[in-house]
Amino acid sequence: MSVIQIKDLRYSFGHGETRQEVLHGITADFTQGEITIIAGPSGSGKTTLLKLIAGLRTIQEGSIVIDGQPLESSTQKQLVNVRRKIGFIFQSHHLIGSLSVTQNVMMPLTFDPKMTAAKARERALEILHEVDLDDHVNKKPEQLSGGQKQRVAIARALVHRPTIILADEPTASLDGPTGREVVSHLQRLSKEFGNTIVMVTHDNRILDVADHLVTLVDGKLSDHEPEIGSGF
Amino acid sequence: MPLLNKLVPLGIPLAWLNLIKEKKRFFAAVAGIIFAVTMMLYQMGLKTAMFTQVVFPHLMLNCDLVITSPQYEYFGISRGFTEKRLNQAFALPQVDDVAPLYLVNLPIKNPLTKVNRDIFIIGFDPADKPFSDEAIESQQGLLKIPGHALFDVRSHAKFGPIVDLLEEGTVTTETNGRATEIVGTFEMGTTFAADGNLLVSKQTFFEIFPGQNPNLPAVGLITLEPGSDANATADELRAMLPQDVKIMTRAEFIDNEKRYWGERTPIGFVISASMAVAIIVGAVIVYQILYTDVTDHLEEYATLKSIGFKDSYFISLILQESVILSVLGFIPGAAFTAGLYYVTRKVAYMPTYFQWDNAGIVLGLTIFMCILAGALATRKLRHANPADIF
Ligand SMILES: Nc1ncnc2c1ncn2[C@@H]1O[C@H](COP(=O)(O)OP(=O)(O)OP(=O)(O)O)[C@@H](O)[C@H]1O
Ligand SMILES: [Mg+2]
Repeated sequence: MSVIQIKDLRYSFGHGETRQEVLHGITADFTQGEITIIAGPSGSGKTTLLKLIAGLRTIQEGSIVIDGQPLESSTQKQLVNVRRKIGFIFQSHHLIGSLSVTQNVMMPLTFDPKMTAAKARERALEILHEVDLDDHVNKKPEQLSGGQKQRVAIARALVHRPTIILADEPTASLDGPTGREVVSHLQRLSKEFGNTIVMVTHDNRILDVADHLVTLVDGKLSDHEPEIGSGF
Repeated sequence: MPLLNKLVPLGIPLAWLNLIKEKKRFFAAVAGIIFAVTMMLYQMGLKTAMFTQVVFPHLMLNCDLVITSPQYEYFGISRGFTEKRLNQAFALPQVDDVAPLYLVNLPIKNPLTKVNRDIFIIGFDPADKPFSDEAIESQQGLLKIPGHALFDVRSHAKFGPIVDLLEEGTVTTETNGRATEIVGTFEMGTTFAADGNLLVSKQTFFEIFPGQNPNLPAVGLITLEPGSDANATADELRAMLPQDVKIMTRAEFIDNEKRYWGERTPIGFVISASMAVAIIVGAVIVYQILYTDVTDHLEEYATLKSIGFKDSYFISLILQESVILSVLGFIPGAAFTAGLYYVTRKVAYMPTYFQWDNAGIVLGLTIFMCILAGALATRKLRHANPADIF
């Protein structure tokens, strides 16, 4: 079943003279429970595509349907609901500095009206255990290493069991082994929870976790040329 | 509980935690609010005190009704009314006693510097009992001797260290060029019309101020038999006496004085204006702090927005910060003002007291000020598109 359907998607920045089309008609389907990696050169529009999928940018042309909801015809409220079905992992962790690790992970659980503080804490601690952060649950983000922060970000993105995980270069700020470790946490948990993952990366060392590998070149998606990857 | 869960979802007090993250900024904000609260509350206290103070003499008068001329404006120099009217009041059986008061502002000489300054002089018959004040009652017999006077210890310092000098015996000076001997003290307080007060007998009054017609007292005091209806008696007197006098109950007399000074002085306006300045200064400080807070956390807020938090959550955050700041600034501000009131009472003899109604108004204004600043600060947030931030 396809969770994300993209059809003839075009997107450009600027107006008139300075108008620059970044995405030139993208069509793709992302299947439930699969990990898709989008590779591609810098400036090719990968981040733009992810933001469009997350409903953070307004669709100009074409369509994106998330879990049955067409974004181009969604109200603000429907967009908020779509965002709540998505776990977003950013290039930099983007944790909330004044909250503890546990509180950061609890934040997405506030969307569930039946959630209690005790239950949320329990859920957060469980998933923090999954990413091996038991010893750091009460720390502030600034007291963690880059890899630990990114693992907290993964826990936060997954804690409310979103249908979709979008990850924009989640390993870019990490060294090789650490990046590898962070991504294997992501891979293991998403298989366990059945999430659909769309991950953008330059990092050749993690391409092997993908079920699908595509490249975005010149604003168009194409199936990956095997010579870039290692596990294909 | 549902409301609390909306404000502080899952018990995560992000507003509070964000506020106290930057300790210096947090204390600067609270200090700014303390300043604004203190300014507002102190000004209101002064205003209340000034309008309480103007009727201090009235509150000491022993009367149920007063008679004045129809032109009477305030407790000060006045054209006077025909004293005969006061005696005519005895026609009503419930009238127990009457007492005329003579009022004038005349220069008294500072016994040390010899500089003449106007003092408010109240003349009365020492056989009457126009004041319900123990100190005056016990000493008014001394005034029977011409030239003797009682001095208000709350008078302005410009009249000289009369109280200290009195410890070495009576103080001799001059009032309007006449020898005056100060033989005792009482407590009344200054008003807009009086920087100090002197009590003398009717006889001394006219020696000091020979130009005044002794048959035209400024204010006539009427006391009624216990249990009499002051309003009804006032009506009876109005019907009975000619139109050349004005009859007021004690309450009307006091209200008249407050109203007169309220209209005659710019105090109401000045106080309102300086309160407005305090609010603006406070609002600017709080706005600066909250705006910086929003700017600093913009990335974090955009992150939360992108994972599904609504704008209303961030507005609630900033407004919570506003309310927290107002309450945290208000409490020490109010306590500090209470201290200032105390000092003002001791040093300036002004009746400045902490009043809950004034405090309530200031708390309301403070919350309004902070919420206004907070609302302005959230504008930046609402326009922030998370897509442009990462
Ligand atoms: N807010 C913006 N305004 C104007 N142009 C933009 C904006 N964001 C991105 N672009 C342009 O759109 C193109 C695609 O940008 P995008 O960030 O999607 O690339 P990317 O594939 O994520 O690159 P990278 O691998 O370096 O992150 C670039 O040419 C970029 O300059
Ligand atoms: Mg990018």
